[in-house]
Amino acid sequence: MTNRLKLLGVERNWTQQDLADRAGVSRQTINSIETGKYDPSLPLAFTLARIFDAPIESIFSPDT
Amino acid sequence: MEFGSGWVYAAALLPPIPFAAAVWALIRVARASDELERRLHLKAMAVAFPLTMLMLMVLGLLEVGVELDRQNLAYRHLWGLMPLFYAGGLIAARRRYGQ
Repeated sequence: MTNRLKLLGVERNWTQQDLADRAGVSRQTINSIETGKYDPSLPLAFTLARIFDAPIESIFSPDT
Repeated sequence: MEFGSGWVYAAALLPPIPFAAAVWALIRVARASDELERRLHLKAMAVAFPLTMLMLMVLGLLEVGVELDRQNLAYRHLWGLMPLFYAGGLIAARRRYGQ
């Protein structure tokens, strides 16, 4: 799965730690999601969508 | 110390106490962990448990056919392998998820 997490974070001048704190996960988890090494669970994906005030589909998309 | 004295049994039952404390600490760490950290530890356990069982099975089968030197090769020598396998599994899992 690909995602726009890093781009969205940069737009808001957030570090990985900032996003991690808002999402209630570790910085390493955010890093793994951004690099595509880990796909978040549905609850975490919804949390991230809520944080960025964007639909999940606009943040995460399946690999083509 | 003569075999069968109460002190021998007491000494044998002492190690589970810190072990139980370690297990409780592990449970507390797991509760405080996020989903990826829990997955990493689960994968480490998925490596450590079957490998340890495999070692136990090998030793058990060896005992059937071979006269083993219990001083140098017994089940008590294998318990220390599980943390080793766990560490190896955790390292592999962290590399898999880019940590």
